[in-house]
Amino acid sequence: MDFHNGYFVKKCEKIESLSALKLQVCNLIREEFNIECDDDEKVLNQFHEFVNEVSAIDLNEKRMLLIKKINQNINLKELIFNSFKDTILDLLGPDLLVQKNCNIVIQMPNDNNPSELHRDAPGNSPYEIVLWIPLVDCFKTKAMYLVDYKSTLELYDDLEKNLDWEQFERKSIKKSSCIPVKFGEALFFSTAVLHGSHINKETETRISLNIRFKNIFSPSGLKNQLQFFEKFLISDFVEMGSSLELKKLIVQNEKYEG
Amino acid sequence: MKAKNIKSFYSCIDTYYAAPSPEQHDVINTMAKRENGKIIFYGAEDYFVAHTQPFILPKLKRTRNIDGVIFFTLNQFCYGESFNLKLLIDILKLNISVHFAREALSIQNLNDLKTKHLDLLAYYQATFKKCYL
Repeated sequence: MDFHNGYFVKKCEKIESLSALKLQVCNLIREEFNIECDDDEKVLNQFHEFVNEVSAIDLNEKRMLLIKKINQNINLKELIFNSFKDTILDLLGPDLLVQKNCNIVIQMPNDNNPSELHRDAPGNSPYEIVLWIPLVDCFKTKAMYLVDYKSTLELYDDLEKNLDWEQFERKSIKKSSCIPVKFGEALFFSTAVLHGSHINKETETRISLNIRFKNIFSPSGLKNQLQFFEKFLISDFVEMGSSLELKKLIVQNEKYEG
Repeated sequence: MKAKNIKSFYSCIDTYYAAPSPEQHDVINTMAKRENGKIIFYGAEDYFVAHTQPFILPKLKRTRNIDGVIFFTLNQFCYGESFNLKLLIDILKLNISVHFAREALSIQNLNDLKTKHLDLLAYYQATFKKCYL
């Protein structure tokens, strides 16, 4: 796969997994917001119409509760991994950590709190991969924007010289592209590239998930690896290596009968 | 005499970590409560030798009625030339559980260590064996 831009869009390898995930999220949204509508697409894309009577404070509370419920009740990590297994394994190898909590973002039309321009590294490790998975078709301002890797580096060089954040933002947005991603696809991107979202000026709500995977042994970011990630997949090869070392140390030390 | 079912923990803060002792104690206390216990004694390694952790094992050996020891962070086992697995094993052999507050990680006994050893090793490798930052 071509990663020189720092990102690529990949079609799902197992649509059943992603569809199951979408259905479960949709049902939890129905439950949390008392939405009586059988059409999944409508529930997700027109979410803002179903909640337009809800106050901003209540909406935020319910949204936080929804995120909690989604993480507790849906096997998100497994479903996402199964949907993009080959690509994740190709990028990171067979010994994987996964972010403990999957993020769920709901961006309604004209919500004036979009995700500001930023990059995840070095807080997050540059060896992590981010999967951004929309549950609806995303295009134009309903999508995310990214700045390619080469431009990101140039922009940071410029920022370090001038220390002018507003100019940095203007130039970054100019260099950025909104990446269309349909349901059934994922945007894979490096934590080293600048990204964010504009105010959603389309007529539909964007509902998306994002989660990070990392090889267990690759250098961590500034975040504590054990706080942020959990073990997801370990090869027999690494399992064997690590248990041999431990056994040797315990036995060396006397009569442990484990 | 210990109160029934309430575990007694020894608290060991990180001498090298920038957070002041009261902040570290807060995090350690939270972990003690989560593990159904409380902090009975506390201490720390000397700044000049903390990377070799010479203090804690003898201290635990001579402190009675301790169920577990709570370190502020797993980093305390990573400041030497390699991960201090030997100390971890030695503490567990005293039938004292080992906990890391910042990482919310507990190792109850040697069998538990078998399942969590790779997490510790990988943490050391990923956090302390890098040079890009």
